[in-house]
Amino acid sequence: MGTRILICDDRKEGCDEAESQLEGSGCEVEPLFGEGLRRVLDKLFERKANPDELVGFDIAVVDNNLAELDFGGARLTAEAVIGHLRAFTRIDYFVSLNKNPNVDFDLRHLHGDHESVADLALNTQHLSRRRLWEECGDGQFAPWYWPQLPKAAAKRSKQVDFVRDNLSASIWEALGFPPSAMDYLSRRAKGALNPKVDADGGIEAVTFWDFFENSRSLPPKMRNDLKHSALKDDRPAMEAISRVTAAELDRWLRKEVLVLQDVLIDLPHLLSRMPIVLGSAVCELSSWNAAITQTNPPYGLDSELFDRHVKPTEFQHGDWAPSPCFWWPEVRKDDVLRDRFFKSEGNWPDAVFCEDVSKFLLAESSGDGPEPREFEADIEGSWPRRYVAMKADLNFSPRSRIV
Amino acid sequence: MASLNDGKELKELVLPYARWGADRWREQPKEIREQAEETLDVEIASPELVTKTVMSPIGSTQPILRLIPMPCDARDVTCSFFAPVLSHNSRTSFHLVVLAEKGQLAFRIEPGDVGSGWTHRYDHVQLCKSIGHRSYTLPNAPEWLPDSYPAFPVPGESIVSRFLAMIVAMHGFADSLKAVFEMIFPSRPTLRRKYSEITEDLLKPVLDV
Repeated sequence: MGTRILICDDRKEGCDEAESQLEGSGCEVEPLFGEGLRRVLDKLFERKANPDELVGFDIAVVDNNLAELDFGGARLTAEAVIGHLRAFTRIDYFVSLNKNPNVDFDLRHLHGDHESVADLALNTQHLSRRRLWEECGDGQFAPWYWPQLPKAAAKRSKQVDFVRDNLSASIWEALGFPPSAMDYLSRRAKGALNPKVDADGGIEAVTFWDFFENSRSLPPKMRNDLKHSALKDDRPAMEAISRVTAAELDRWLRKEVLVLQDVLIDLPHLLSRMPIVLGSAVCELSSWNAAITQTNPPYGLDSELFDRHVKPTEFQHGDWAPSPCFWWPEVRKDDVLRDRFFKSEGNWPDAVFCEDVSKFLLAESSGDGPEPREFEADIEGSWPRRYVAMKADLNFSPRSRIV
Repeated sequence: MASLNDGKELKELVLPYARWGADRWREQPKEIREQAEETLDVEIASPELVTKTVMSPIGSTQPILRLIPMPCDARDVTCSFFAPVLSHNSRTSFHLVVLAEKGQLAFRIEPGDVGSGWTHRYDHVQLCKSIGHRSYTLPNAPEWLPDSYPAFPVPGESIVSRFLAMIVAMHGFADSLKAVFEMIFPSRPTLRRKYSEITEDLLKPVLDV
């Protein structure tokens, strides 16, 4: 069965717009708006799990402005309801819509909306972009930090199973962080994993339970109630905790670890650092771009170099990363690779990875288009300066980040 | 007249290094930053002013002297700074200031003087008492310090070789220099390799292999 998407909006027109953008997605789409949505949210707020109207969906797309539902009190937003939807339904992945309608590409955090509790924050017109639905390298707008949504939803259910089986285990150990990662994990990442632990020690002991206790997407009282129920073997409570923890941990890995590329590094950024792993294919720009769309080992890299130098560093929990990843502290201390890099001969393309189109482009244009632009992201890592192709008609924000 | 030919290298090589230095300066212990500011009494380029400072030799206005922090941890050196300065022969020289616990020294890494009768017709490095068009005299620099001789030759005759000579002088060679290129060109492997090769070629005659 294909991916099923639920669109939630207070207005029918909002659902219609999103539905039309999703026409090419290949997914089955259903709208839920106005009074119908209000009734469902009422049930959820009363903690009636899995209302019939929400059964059978993989992804929910929730418009941020739900003001017309009028529950009284403050204006209702997607941010206020996604935590409940995540905890008390079996929908896997949540997209918040139109929280930042004037931003297409986030130059600051390289993650999209930094504060959102959704898995991804988009605008309605983004829903038609191919990157969200299939592997593509056509050079069109395709932010690196956007996952393929059907794949991300499928991974989420495996993440939930993983959390349920490991609730009392150390996150550090369960996900196989090597000791060398400790020196490269940022203070912000450590603090976001557990604010009560010092940067210099204790992170390795943080459990999935500990992480849930600092969850941001549920109110504190609800969090405590769920925990007490779960300790009495209440299965729905355990399920809700696993779902919330899985989503927030996935977000932590993407936002605080992967974005920096200092601890875990994905293929495009590995090639930026160490293109020599392509072997003799390094001289062809097309090989660089072919490699970053590969999903199976050796990912378009030189087989021998991959087997001996890259494979041993591969992150073994692929369900927790949007694409193949490697432990960068382990790769960077490989003297053989480093020597090969500096002693290699032959002409390489002077290519830079453009984060907005998820593609390598030549750093200096040969006259057939604008050159990639360098920008400085506001991230706490050693590699804040990256590149964008900066297609026209899109909003890159904040522009002051362009170098 | 501006040395327009140096613009590409200033932007491609010097600027990323300077940005790294300015970023790292903010992470230095407060006492080191305060000591440098009090001792030198000259503006230290913030990350926001780095581009303007690096590109000043090709600017059309009289540049303001600012020092760019160097991101190096040389033994016995508290901190170090450099400034790209437009030389009298319209090419870019680099002025280097080194602070140690009990004093400071400055050097000029300069292009060769133009003209057949000049004794310093080769790229060279000299001690100096003042930097930046002699507009700024280093505090506590001994009066007796000779600033024309000795003028040690620097291999090469370009802005790149002068800058790389200064970097090697402060960071060393081999792995530490590779680490510098990894830091300043994380997204540009081609530049990382290119400048590593240029440095190696420059030093080849004097390398102990």
